[in-house]
Amino acid sequence: MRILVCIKRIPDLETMTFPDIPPKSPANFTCEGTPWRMNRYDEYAVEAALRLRETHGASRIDALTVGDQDAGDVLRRAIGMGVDHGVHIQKTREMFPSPFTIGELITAYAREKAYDVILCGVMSEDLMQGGVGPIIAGLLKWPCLTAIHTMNDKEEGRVLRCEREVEGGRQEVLEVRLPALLTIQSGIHTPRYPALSKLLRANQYPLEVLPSASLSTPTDRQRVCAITPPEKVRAGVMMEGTAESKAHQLSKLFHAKGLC
Amino acid sequence: MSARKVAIIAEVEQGKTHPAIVDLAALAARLAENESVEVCWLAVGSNAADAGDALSGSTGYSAIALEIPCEVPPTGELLSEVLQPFLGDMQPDVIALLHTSRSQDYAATLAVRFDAAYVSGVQGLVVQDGGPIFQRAVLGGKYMAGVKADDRPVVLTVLPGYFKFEGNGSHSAEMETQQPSLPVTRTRLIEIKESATEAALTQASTVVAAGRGIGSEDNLDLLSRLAALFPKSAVAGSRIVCDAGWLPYHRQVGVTGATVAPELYLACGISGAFQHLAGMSGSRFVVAINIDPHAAIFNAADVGVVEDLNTFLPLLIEAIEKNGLDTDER
Repeated sequence: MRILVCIKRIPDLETMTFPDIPPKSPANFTCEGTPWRMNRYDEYAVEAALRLRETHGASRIDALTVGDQDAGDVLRRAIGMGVDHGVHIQKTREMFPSPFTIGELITAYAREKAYDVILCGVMSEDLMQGGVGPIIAGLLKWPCLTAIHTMNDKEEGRVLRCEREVEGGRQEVLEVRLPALLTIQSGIHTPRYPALSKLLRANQYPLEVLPSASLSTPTDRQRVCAITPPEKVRAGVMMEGTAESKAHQLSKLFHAKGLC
Repeated sequence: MSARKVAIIAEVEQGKTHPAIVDLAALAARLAENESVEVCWLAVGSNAADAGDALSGSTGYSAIALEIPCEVPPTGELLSEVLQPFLGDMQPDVIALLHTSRSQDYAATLAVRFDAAYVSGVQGLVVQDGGPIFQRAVLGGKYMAGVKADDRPVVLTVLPGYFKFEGNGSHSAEMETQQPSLPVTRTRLIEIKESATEAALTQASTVVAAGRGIGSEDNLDLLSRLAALFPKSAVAGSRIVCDAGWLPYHRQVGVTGATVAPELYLACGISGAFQHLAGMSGSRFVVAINIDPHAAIFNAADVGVVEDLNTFLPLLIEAIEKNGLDTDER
């Protein structure tokens, strides 16, 4: 069984500083000084691939990222976790790329490679779109199952049995005949931490580096034309004063409303 | 210029649809503010005609019911195969779906098939000359991105709860039923296991919810102590807190977890991503406590407190206990 895991390098949202008024043009949006890391949902996708190999045996796992020249570090982390090979499609950094651009590039690489399964994180934490994976499935004319948290091999690599959580906390059990694309939701299987020895080896590993132009000239189909602060859906009155005073105000408010 | 065509896809399960599906008519009506728009429902699934009748009756838009006779809901793959010929005949400019687990499986496939743009998680719309701009949350909900299609059709998945259809249900509109031929598919829905969500959570009057901002599992104690001061209360968590194993998944609130609507929702260290907001937006009164003054949760709260939970929660607990004593003494 051959598996491709698509991973994204994103700015660390926890340490990122956000201006009150974002730049007028989305193209001017930068994350200067913010550390970058692997998208958390993609770590779960890597973990899912490794588990599939552990249960299925003879598999090869490739990890792929589309990004600027610095993006290779997430591939090395994936290799440190246990992935066999890293593919870096180099492309100029864009904060808000079209999912079709990324999807077409990955599809151009994957089309001839006879993968049985392509895994993606359920979405990127920064753009929260979940577009690239399903678009790849559409381009390859493969079935797509999104937000899967558990999967098990059935019929020796021809069918996967998958589980996901849907609206209202219900669990769906689905089966898919391969090849297929699955997007992986965070959950049951915590991503392993790369062993130091594996990380050291990963640092020496020769990544497969491809300029995006050598693969395809994708059509964007759409663009992000504005970034704006969100609208308030409730009053959002901010309490003022010392911590003690705020605690007192809240407590009075709860009593006045008969809540406690 | 001829009217722009909007197709709204309604997934049907034994004649029933998601309660928010009718709200997609409000999005269609907003599109019609700026240009002439022709809207058609595509109700697809088991007993689709019942749903098609109901939707066309309440909105006045025509409907086509695509009957798929089956016990379990059809998979996304089957839905997209069944829908494609009808959408191909119709050539819509906008294909709107509700943003659900199932629609995420096939909405992008429709976009690829019809050479359309694809915008998921739509929660706002700017109508202007030169084409609509669809708004969706990015960067943990701190900003909204406005997305525009480049001179081509667009497939949208629309989050429940952001558009509200206000019309009354007494229209007569065309409704036709079709029996599409069913293709062989590679996906199969085996079973749906019912929710393990505790009734204690969905029926609670006060929900004290923990987000990543609580910092460590140890601080759940503080949240439990705080919750204990409210009658009929429960402690819940965001997906991240449940992923970390700090709370079991049946305590998760959000788009995939439980949907709650308590009298008081006390969000502690919750960032406010839309996936979480979708599970608590019906709460009567929302108080958010977060050390980050820019946290998106403050836009969805009635009252906001910017404080460190470690120091603030003990003060709040003390203040409530004391206030309670004062009241009792009187």
